[in-house]
Amino acid sequence: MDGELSALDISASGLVAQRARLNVVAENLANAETTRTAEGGPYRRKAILFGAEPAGAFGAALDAVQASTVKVLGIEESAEAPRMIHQPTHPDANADGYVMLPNINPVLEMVDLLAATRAYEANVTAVQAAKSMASKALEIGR
Amino acid sequence: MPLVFDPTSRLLSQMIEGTGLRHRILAANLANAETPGYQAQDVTFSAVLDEANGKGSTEGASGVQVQTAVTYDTAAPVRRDGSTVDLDREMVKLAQNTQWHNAMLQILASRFAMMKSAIRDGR
Repeated sequence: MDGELSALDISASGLVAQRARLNVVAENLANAETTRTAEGGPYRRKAILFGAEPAGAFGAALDAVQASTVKVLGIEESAEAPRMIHQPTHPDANADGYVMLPNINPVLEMVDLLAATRAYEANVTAVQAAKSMASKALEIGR
Repeated sequence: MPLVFDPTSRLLSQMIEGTGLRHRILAANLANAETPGYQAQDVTFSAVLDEANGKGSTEGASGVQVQTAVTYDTAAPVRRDGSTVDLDREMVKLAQNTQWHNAMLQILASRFAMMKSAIRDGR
């Protein structure tokens, strides 16, 4: 039996993915000024990668085109060069007085945060729709 | 004619099944709203002649069946990341589909209520 219940699974995968994205954005913003990391050098901006995953073999047997859940493929570190700021008093300044700061643009992070919130809300709406559809079905024969 | 499985109830339940499937597909589009290259999908509904039951007339509900097919939404605009999911478009479809689903269920429930009323001799 497919229908609303597996629609909930699909929406749940969307919620999980968007929440993971929010975590990455939060990490980037929190580390916007981090100059030291375990790997050495400043913190590097992280980006999340999403991929579509077909939802189960049952659908495949019935339809050529089938519904997909979303999956977090991985979190990758940005290869962009760090920002160089002239600040000779900083403990991590190099011989020329420049400090390497993370390649994070707070504006871009805030935009990503908003987009993730909206995408999360869209999935919440889909969950609520599935719930209303299921509860309407329960009213039959009442 | 069987009491419960009359042509109209059969069509209604086929539509309910179809809108259930469409909800699943639209939920998948929303879940993949930020997946690069994802192709938005949709469900198309069509009336086909009920040849399997030896009928096949477009006169009334008895000779028709509702058929659903999952297709790619080719009318959707393509985004720069290759995805064809448009959030506004999907939300409108989702609201529309939910209303359709609930309307079909409402009609089916009314039909059952009528039968119940008839069984109880109008009391």
